[in-house]
Amino acid sequence: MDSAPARKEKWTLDQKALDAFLRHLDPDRERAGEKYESLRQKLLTFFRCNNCWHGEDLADEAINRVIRRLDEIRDLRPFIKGVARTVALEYHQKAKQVKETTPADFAELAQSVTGDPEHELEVERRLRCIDSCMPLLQANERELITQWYSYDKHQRIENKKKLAHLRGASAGALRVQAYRARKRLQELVEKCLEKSRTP
Amino acid sequence: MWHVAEADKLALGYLFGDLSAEERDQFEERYFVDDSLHERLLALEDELIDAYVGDALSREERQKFERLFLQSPERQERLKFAQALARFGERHPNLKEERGGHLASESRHQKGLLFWPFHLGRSTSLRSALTGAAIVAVMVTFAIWQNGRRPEIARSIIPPGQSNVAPPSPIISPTPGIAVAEPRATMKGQQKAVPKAPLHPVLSFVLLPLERDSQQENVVSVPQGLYTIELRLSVEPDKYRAYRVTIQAVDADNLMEKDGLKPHAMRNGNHVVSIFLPAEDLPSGYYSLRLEGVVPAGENEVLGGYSFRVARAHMK
Repeated sequence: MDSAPARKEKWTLDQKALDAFLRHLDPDRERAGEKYESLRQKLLTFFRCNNCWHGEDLADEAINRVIRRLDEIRDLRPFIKGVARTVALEYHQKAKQVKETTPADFAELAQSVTGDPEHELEVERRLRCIDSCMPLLQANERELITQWYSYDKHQRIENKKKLAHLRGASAGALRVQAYRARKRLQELVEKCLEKSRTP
Repeated sequence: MWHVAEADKLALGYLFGDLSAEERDQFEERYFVDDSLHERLLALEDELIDAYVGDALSREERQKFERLFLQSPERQERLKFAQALARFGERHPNLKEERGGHLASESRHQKGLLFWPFHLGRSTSLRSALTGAAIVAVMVTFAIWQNGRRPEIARSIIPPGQSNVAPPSPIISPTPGIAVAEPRATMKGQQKAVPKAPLHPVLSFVLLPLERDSQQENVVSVPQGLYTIELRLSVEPDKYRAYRVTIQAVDADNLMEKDGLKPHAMRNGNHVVSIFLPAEDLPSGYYSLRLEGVVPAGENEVLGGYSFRVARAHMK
């Protein structure tokens, strides 16, 4: 008697699998959450720098694939990177072919993006949110951002050198400090934008 | 023109897609393992976007940037934010050579704030002698920040296109028993303010802690208009290096938390912790505030609870 072939159940992420993954990252739940977020951010960077759009979806897909095969993994980070590469390849295979674009076309693209009235409105909305969110930053973050961006664009490079000197930091360290302050501001601005969109 | 240090050239090559497949692979392996390398990469990416917005890239770099950054919706988002930040900086251009070529100090006390202390708002309800005299807990000091020094708090909340906001005039002399804030700084040798951008005033309120069976009430009176509210809490000098504050509306879910607040000394020698909030984040109602001293190696110490009522008033 023939038996019907066993139907392969599609794997879906459940809480148990996620918990197992978090424990794998770190026995402490809170630290595991931080490591998860750090990993996710690296995946977003990877996809962005590999010209993959919709990085959030791709990062989730990559993490899901890793979790699914958690039992087989010895060294997590190289494995994750390998999975990310596979996901990126699949993305590019699915993406439509784009004609080879010349620099002139990109200049036109730049103009169409930045010259678009809608783009302009979006920038202004962010500016209003920056104004309202700056007081919510820590004083040192606020000061750094204000000083980092306050100079006329032609003086900005000199300004940054002076700022680094005043703060007793190297240029690289100051850049990271500015990045962290800016990231914090960006998170606040995103909440502000979301709030302004909610009726 | 924008230049990167030699140490950053590999990362820049990665961002521009200039690395060979093998180099790219190795670089990606490294940042998946090394958190600080990843952070430095993101910081460099931000700086690259800023350089594009500031027109500081070479022609070749600009073309590469446009090829890579303008097609992706995520990167277009980052571009918008960078452009907004650049405009924010353009509206605050006066951190130039001051005082013999040094940048203005980052200390708030040295920013040159013009204070017109006066009493805004009304005293809290007073109770009869049977329950003990109520203490008016609220003191309002009205600060107008001048243009010549960088009133970064006030300016930072100016919406574009906003016309100058006329400052409310000083009103009433202080109610007896209420301490009036001394000016935090004077503007010695201050240049005449040349209005370049509209100013938002900061309204400062000192909160007193709750006492058992006390009838006192902290009232934060906010006139109509755009303001930043500063809540000041007295702290012991040199007790904690940083503080944490949690604010909750009594009848709503909203919760605000501020970490890493540093104490600062007032001119009268008192030490305070300041919390700055946009006035629109404090609708009328009752709020509770918890102050904690941050203990690096252990649990924070809860120092006190405060309650206050926000009352929206109309300017006359």
